[in-house]
Amino acid sequence: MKKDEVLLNLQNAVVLANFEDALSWTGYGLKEGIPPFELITEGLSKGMINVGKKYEDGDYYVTDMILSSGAMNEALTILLPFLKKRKSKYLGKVVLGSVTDDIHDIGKNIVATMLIGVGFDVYDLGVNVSKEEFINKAIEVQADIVGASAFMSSTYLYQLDIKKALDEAGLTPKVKYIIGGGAVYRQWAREIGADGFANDALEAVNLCKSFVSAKGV
Amino acid sequence: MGANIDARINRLVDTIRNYQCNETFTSLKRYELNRQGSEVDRPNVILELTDHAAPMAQMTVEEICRDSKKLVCSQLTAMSDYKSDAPLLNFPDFYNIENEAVGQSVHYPENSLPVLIEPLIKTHKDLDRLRLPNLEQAGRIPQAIEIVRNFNEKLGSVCLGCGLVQGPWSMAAGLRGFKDLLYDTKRDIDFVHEILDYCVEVCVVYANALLSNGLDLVIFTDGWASIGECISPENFYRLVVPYTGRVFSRLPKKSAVWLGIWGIRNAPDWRDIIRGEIAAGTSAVFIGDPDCFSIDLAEAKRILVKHDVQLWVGVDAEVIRFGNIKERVSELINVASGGGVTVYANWVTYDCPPERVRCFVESVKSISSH
Ligand code: B12
Repeated sequence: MKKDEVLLNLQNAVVLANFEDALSWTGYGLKEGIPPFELITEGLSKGMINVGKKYEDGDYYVTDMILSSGAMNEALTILLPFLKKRKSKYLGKVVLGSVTDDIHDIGKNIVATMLIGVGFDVYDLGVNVSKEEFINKAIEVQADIVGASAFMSSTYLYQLDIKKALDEAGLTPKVKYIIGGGAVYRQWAREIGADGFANDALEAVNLCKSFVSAKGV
Repeated sequence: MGANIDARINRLVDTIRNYQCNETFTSLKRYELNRQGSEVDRPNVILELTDHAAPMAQMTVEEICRDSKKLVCSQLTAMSDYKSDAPLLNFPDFYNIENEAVGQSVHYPENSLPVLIEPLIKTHKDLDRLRLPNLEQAGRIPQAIEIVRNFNEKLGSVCLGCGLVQGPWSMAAGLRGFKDLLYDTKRDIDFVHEILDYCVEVCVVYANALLSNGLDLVIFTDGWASIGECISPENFYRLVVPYTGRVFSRLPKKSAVWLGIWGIRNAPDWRDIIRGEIAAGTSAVFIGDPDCFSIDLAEAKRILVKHDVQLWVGVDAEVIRFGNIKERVSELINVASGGGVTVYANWVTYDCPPERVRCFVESVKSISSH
């Protein structure tokens, strides 16, 4: 089978959230000698971008995006070990988390999957993440970008605390700080001096891409 | 501390009894008249506030999540200040109680809501090991029952008693982990059905225990069943409606309200979602903010009246914290006026200034009496 066909099948597996196909086409692609990074960027990730477009057009629900990212994650479990060996392939390093007291993570997880899909090295700290945890991780992995999610009107203020902590730790402006989540608006991002805001995962990907230049890809 | 807190509770009970009895109807009477289809003076107004009540009662969130008397005291403190119609008779982290009772670990931070630590069901074997909770000793269930008893004894004849529990789908999401449960709908659908079967049994046992101890209304919160955001309409009809329906069919008639399903506006036809909820046997359909401003609420009400089902409408935490409260409330009351309506504050955040909450309750009362 031609390489393009394999990649197309992989894209479709993601679009249709077909877990089995995502795994088997990835395995097939590897066997045929398609580089893992290409399986991700030209297969899985293009599929995920289509999913994002379908969502924007109102054809897909958030839950479809979660299922598609599940199919993609399944395939990534086979591919990521190959990539870890060749770190230079990453576009950049992103530290992500939902802020203190907030356990909402559906939106943040979609952002994380999409970022991984396009070639970022993502350190997802999970939910209820303190400003110290964000800073420590950013220092530890030498992050290019720190992203904080907040979903409630009682938790979004923590995004300001993180910004202050990044400034105090001397990480900004080198490290870019981006925010998002159900409770947050563009205006808030401007007010706290964040470097960016995204309404959805596609916008988040474009934002992150705009901050980093491809490193050795 | 024991005698002290009892005295505090008793004082609060007096205040609440006074203001409830000074109105045309007490909240319990209003609710009963609503249920019979009779006209009432105004909608009952209920506040979903939990952690917000802790500092009002000079307590930490952790204290009110662990101690039943402190929980009652904090709810009554908020209620007597805000003059709302019903307290929420359960611990603030109502998405955790059933799961904790069957063995899932919960982490209790000092000043925010407790969280489930990790999924309890990782394999089929884990599910096989699970049993029904023993009501006398499982997690915080004995205390949850104690809260209801305590309230019922003191205010049960005057005030509507509501308690929050979860629907089987939300409980399953906590036990299995939401992502895995959703992925299982593609990978292993039989497993999803088996987990739901188990959750139905737990929900029935728990809800009946609360009702038989004097609770008037069990509110089944189901945030994980939010349309579009957490579940597709197809899966809602396939995996949520039938199982929740099975729970409702095993409770006393009209004792359950289904709440917290956000996003009905996302469905191809919101009417179908409402019909699904009615078919499951809920005594009221909740339409939260912003759904209630995005659909034809008057039409929703007509559908519900036809089926003798009440309407609960929501006002969002964001509006109560920052927005134009009076405008929002009058918009709602204009459409959803007449009997069978309850106004529910979707949530009051921990840091919401008290004067804004007072303004919300006052607005519902004054606008609806015009
Ligand atoms: C699902 C849900 C839950 C689930 C959580 C599931 C989970 N693990 O995330 C459960 C049921 C557990 C839950 C619990 C609670 N919830 Co809740 N929940 C929701 C719900 C229905 C959907 C949120 C969601 O996932 N949306 C879908 C995602 C994809 O959209 P999104 O978040 O906007 O994400 C996109 C963008 O924002 C962006 N993005 C996201 N993150 C980031 C990060 C960066 C860096 C960037 C650039 C972009 C970006 O990209 C994403 C993908 O496109 C909302 C209601 C609603 N309709 O929004 C309420 C809601 C958020 N919850 C609410 C509340 C109050 C609670 C509880 C307190 C309820 C309670 N009393 O217990 C608890 C919270 C406990 C806590 N400590 O956090 C309120 C918040 C009110 C407020 N304004 O403060 C809401 C708005 C409901 C309401 N109207 O009352 N909830």
